[in-house]
Amino acid sequence: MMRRWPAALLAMLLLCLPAISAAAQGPIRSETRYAGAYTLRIDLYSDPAFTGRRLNFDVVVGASTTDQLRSVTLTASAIPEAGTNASSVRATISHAGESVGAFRGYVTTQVRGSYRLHVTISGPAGTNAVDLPLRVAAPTAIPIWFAWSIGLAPLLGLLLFGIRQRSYLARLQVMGSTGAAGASSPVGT
Amino acid sequence: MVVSAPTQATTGARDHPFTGEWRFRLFAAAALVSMQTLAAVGLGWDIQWHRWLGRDAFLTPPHLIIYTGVIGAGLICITVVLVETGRYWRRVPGVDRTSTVSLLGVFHAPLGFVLAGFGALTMALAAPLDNYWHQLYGVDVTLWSPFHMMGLIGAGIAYLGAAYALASELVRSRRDGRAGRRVMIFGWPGIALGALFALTGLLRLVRVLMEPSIETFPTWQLGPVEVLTSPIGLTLAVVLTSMAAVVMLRKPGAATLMTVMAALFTATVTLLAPIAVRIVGDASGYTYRLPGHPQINWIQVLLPFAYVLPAIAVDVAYLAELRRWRRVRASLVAGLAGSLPMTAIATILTLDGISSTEAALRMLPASSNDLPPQPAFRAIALGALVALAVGAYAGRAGEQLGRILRLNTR
Repeated sequence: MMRRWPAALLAMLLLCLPAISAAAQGPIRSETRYAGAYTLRIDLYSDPAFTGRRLNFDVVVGASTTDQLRSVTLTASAIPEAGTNASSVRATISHAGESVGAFRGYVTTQVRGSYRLHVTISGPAGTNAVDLPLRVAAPTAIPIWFAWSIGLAPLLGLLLFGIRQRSYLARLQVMGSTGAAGASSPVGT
Repeated sequence: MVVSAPTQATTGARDHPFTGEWRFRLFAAAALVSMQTLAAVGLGWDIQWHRWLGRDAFLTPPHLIIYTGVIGAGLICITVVLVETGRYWRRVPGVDRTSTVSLLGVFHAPLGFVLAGFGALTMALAAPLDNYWHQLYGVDVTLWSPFHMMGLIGAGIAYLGAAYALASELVRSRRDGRAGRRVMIFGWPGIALGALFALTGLLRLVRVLMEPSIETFPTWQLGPVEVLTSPIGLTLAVVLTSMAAVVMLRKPGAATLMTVMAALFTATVTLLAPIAVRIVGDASGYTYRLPGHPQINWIQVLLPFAYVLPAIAVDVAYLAELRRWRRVRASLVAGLAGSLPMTAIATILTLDGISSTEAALRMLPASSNDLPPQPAFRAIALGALVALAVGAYAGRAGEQLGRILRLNTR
């Protein structure tokens, strides 16, 4: 029994490996946008993003003076483009550590297709917005006929149950006619 | 609410050796129905949520309510199956082959809980699959998608299970001489009302299931033939459940009361759901998919009461026929009597739904922003004929379901 522990530990480590490597991964796409007096460098950690998974991103705000960076706020949302049958999703954004003008955020979209990451910045130098195109991919599609087969499979079980209940009813009737089924009174609970 | 004092028969029943077992089952059945009701409230809210806000995440507040209900119902079923199995093997009085069904030769539990457990399991399995489907194909174009159907079929099985669970307690109570009269509400035994409410689940579910047939897909093309669909589905549901109700209780007004309960519940949820969406939507700063704010649709609120009329027809026709003791004829006549008003109502609803509401446009994808065309007269006539035939059959099937519910002790 004890010999199995190292193998189990190794299996656990192997399972954790993708998560560890994903966490260690840096941004894979970096874009710079200009929003009035501010410069925004947006780093994406996945491109394309995937449905149902967090798309992590960093935003580093630059300005000509440090004063313009004080009390800067950032909001963002993933807005579906025309042809993407989805709702807008707001991103969660927080300050990244102590550094002024550095933010990190994430957004989770539920539908594949084209989006734009709409980032709005407000600060002493005014309020402006920038857009960054996003592509959201989906897991491999299953054929529609197969999906319907799975979806309607319980109906088959229900039909079989109904058929069996008919013979059960016949047995109940026999028992009822010989015993105290209480079925003979025409009216009453 | 009028709750009467325990009767003499009740006092006598306290000393019955099976009383503890019956109380446990009754409590579990009531808890099961409560959890299913919670899920139904969540579903009503979720439909409005999808309509007004779309689908931005899996764990939205209505989804949380639905799955709390589903998981709660599932856990209740698992608990009952395990407890009853233990009692069966320990030969506890009242737990034997006459009060349980065997599952895989090992587990023994009341049929209703086994059924409801399978229903909850089906719904739980449908949830991740449905999420995956949405990731692939977007927010709802229609309720009629594979894994919505899977979830709704699971809900149907679960509701049927709850009706079995409560009805079997009513049978036992009747045989014990109490006839469920321990708790009386407006002259109706509490267990009977519970069983009727459990049956309303099936009716409410089919009403939800048939919504797309009123708003977006009024006809089905079956080869060369086009058929109006909503009268068929709605007639099947109303007549089946009404017949089951009146045969299960053999009491005048049972079918009518069942549909009134279904209508009151549905109307309340339909009334409150847009308000809940608006409160959460405004507070959380959501962007609405449609212009304006969520509003109460009074036609949708009052609509469920239209199903009372066919139930009255079933009640009157069946009880009138029953006194002559011709079961098959009684069920067919009552089925037809219920189908006539239901077919007419469903047809009018569908035609009105197409011509005068914006609902169809709301649910269709932007690429096909057209209202469905008015169905041809042939499609309407054929739909009505099929609905009458289905109604007659539903009368027969409902009568058989009602008899099982009236006799089953397992």
